[in-house]
Amino acid sequence: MDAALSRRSFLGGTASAAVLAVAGTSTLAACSPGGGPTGPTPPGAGTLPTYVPFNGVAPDSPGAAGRASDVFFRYPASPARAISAIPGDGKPFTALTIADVAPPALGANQFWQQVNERIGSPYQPSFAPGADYPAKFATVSAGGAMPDFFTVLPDTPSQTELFAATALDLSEYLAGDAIKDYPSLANIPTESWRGTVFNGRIYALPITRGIQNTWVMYGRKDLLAAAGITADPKDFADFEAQLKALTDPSRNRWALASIPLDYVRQMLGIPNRWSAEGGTLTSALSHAAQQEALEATRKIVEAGYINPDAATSPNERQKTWLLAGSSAFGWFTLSAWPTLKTEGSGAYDARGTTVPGFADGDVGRAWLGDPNHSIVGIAKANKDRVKTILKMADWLATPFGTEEYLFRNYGVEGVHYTMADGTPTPIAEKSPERSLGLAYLSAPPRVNFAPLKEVLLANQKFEFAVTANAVGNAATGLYSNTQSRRGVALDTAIKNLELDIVLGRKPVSAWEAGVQTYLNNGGKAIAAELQKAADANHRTSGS
Amino acid sequence: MTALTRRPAPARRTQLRNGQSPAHPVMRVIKGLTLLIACALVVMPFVAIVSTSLADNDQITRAGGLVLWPEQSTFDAYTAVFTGGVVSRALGISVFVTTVGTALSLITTAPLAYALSRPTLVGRRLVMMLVLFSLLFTPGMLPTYLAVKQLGLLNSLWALIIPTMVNAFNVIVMHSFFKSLPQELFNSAKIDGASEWQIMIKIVLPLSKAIFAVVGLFYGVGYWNSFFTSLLYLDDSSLWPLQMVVRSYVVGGSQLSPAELGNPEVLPPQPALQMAILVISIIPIVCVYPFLQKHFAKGVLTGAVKG
Amino acid sequence: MDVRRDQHAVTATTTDPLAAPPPSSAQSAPVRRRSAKRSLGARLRENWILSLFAAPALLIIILFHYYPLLGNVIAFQDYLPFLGIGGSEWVGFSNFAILFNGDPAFIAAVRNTLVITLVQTVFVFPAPIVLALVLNGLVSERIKRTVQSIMYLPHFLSWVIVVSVFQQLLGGSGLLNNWIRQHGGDALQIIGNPDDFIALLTSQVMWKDTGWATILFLAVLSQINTDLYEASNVDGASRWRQLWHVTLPSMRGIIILLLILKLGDSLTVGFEQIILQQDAVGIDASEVIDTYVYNNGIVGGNWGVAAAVGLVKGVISVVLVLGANKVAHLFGESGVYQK
Repeated sequence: MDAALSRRSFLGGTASAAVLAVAGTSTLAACSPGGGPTGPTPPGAGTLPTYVPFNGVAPDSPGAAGRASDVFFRYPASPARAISAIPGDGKPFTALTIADVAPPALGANQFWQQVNERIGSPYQPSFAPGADYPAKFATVSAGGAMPDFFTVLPDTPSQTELFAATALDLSEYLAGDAIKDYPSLANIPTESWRGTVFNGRIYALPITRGIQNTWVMYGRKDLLAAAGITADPKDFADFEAQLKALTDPSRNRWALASIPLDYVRQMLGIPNRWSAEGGTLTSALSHAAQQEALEATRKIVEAGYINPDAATSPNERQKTWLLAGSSAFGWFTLSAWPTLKTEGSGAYDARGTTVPGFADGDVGRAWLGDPNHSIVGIAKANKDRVKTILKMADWLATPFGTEEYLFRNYGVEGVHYTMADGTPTPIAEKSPERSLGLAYLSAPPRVNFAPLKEVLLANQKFEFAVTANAVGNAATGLYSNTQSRRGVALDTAIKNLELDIVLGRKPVSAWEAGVQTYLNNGGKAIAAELQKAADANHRTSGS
Repeated sequence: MTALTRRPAPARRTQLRNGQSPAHPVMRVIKGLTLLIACALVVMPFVAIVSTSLADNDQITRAGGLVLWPEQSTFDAYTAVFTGGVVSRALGISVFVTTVGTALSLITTAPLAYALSRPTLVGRRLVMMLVLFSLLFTPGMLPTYLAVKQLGLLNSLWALIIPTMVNAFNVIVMHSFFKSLPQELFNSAKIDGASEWQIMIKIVLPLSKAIFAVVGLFYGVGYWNSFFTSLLYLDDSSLWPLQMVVRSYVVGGSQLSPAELGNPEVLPPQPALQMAILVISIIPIVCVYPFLQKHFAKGVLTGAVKG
Repeated sequence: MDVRRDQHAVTATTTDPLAAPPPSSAQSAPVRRRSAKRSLGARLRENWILSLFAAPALLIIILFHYYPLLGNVIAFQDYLPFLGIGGSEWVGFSNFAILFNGDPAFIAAVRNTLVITLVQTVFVFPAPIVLALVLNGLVSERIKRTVQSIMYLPHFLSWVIVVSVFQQLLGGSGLLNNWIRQHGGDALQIIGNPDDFIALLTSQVMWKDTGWATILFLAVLSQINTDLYEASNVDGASRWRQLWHVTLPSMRGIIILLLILKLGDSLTVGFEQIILQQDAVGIDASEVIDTYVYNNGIVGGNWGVAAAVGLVKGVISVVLVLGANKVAHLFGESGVYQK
């Protein structure tokens, strides 16, 4: 480790502190002492890449990292190539990633052929659909040889050990200013890089989502207006009154498509999973207001304001209730708005609702979602061609507004899409060709892009409003082995208890015992491990 | 061996084709009604599935997912599924795996089951235990994957056939079936000097069409329905069989938000698409059944040798 | 086909319609006794062709079943796939703790499992037998085939689809209840009622697999020597007597066989079906052994736990199956295999 790198790392840390202040989180990447993988642990915590935003195109309405997405109404005319050289080295590159649907084979897939040509290396992917990905991933990793790029989903166990054993340490190439060799990767906000650091080293590329994974309460403004409701709820009682006005079971109408437990928790100011007040990491489960949130939600369920199948229906089905107008409120991510098109009119009437305080004196705070969809490791075998691989990753992350982005997302004009007035329209029957999982290998920050000026501006305004005092998860980027091995089981138990309580199958008082069990079965260990990781960063209270 | 005579056709219609006496009229009405209701219960969801595959998006949204009857039928979903050639290719692969797999399964399973049913098989008890225990102890997903890998089957269609070629349950069922054949047949054949091979081909097979049809169907449906083997053993998605393609539509969902696709008109797979691909995946295997039915419609053993 | 069958046709028929299809022990015993005296080599020489028959399938079973089964040593490891068996830590019996830690929730899960197994054995198991008998008694071949073809359709739907279809038809906001409410009635709580969960599970299984399971019984029924019926017809036997004295005894062997195998599976009840519906009724009503192990162990990628539970369940299955088989032998049945 040379001095220059350390200084760059330090600068990286400063940049991230700035983002921290905006985003409201207050911790930095994990650096658990002892038992580390290969390589020296760098001094200090300045291991993150420098953030250099891409300035090639000006958004029609600019957002801000951690606050709101950039908005574009049309694709820039005659976009320029961001990268002139062909990134590949002619040798194939393999990948294990997610396919939304099965793509046509290479021979019958013009898009794939073009990808190979433009990257300059034949792309040899192996896919699994999202739900089956963990099984596929486990077998491939058991088989020994990891593909060049491999997507790692958030719940994958033992990630520190996984990356140490199978992935290249990328710090040398990406930490601090080194990332400037890869301008598109440098355009990824620092918040997203946090989740790629294990034992103080960068082991992966983030598939960034910015704020798009943030869950919010959508309301159908047309239905609300018809019921005489024109403003977001002022407090819980107001919310309840709105729900009552929107419910009419005899017409199969229930105000809510989803159980609003998290929304109510946000009204009560309960933190986003982990808080770091006073430098001590605390699980939100122990928060004093939890039982109040459960009781309030239970009352809503009992009053019959929620679709009776809400607890058992996947989010996609809850969406159809909102679209069909059988529900007026639903709980979806910020990225869901384009799929929330009112049946019949085709209007985008579903808008985000801000989080009010529960009662007088309470301050409601939304919870920022995970800044990443997943992260991507680069197989150890690529030690000798890591720069080539990173150039490919850079090409795959070229941002909105570039010619490469247009190609990756839409294909070849005239073959895969038609362009009119800055709006590309995909040709439906060629769409499966694009299902190559490229967007899960390396990805640029997300933007909102549609020729729907009013809708997009309203959404962006809402994003700014809801993130104004939103809180992040204080444990983002901190690693706990117990969380990684037992976390899902513990969370499942808590989720089940929550459902039991709000659906009236167990009394609210059962919460106390459930949390105690959580703590005893691993919750305490998780807190201690996270605390240790945070302390190692010496930054828990500093920023 | 025996005298050859045709069984005279029943003179009156007072008995069923298989010789049973007819039921009381009241019982017949009750039975008819029960079957009718049972069939209706089964058919209804299928009507909904087919209807949804034919309905347009607006109606599906209004109904909240499933549609009982399409207002305006559209084959858009089917057209969409078949463009791009993915489904027709996968269909071909499924047919290949199912037919070749079923044939190989029967060719290996039947002799083992037959051998087990013969008292002279050396180590019969040990073999039986090997078969039975393999039904009760299942190796995990990862060790099986590693075995398939070590045997060099990864990324080949044979990986979808060979590892699941012999199913212990089917061996046991077939064995018990062979066992229940009248032993006199075997004994007299032995006395006539027939070899085990001749006994199996000339006596057992003709009498066992029903069980061959059933076990063949079990295997065939097993091959047809399996997607997990292709998920794990095939890295090349162009080798995916139909069920894997179906799977990707049903559970894959689209995690790519259309937010940045510029034109939100293009949405992820809709229920109509999912149901259409479901219908496409069920129809071929359903069509096979009537061809097998005839094999267990009549009493095969009628007039078989005794003594 | 007819020709071949007729080659074996004979005028003389079984005179005793009460006789079950004879298990062969009587005939085969002397053969076995004789061969037991000879050396292994001699017996192999004499019956090599039977061994040859058995070999290919056995090879497949050994290669793809017993060989990977060795990999279940990960039951004693904190197995991480990317480290392999060689690189993972050995942890003794700690993976088995999930089954033996006395957690009341686990004991409740065992109870649920056994209750569900019992209910399903009582209701699900006989259903295809009854259906097969009813179909077998139908006069019209056409109706029989049509009913068969319809009834076996649901088997081809995966549980994900079945559960989703049930919910959309019968759920609180499903088609049925929406219709009821629109017509002024009170909605029926079919899906989300913990008290009725086992009934729901059972009816789903019956809906999905009754027709399918009928196939095997129909095949068995088709093997019944029709002369037996005719003989009893001549005797003027009533339909019930025929059922009791001819049909059922012919099915006894396969029914007992399937019961024994089902017994071996007692600890396994529809994992996918249940886990998809746990949210609807809560853990207390729906947790079974498999879901408990999944929710409390396997979800974190604990492959060792999965292997450990698999081993324990395998041992229990073996005990149950061998025991049940012994009992069957005591009653003179052939069971899964014979001595």
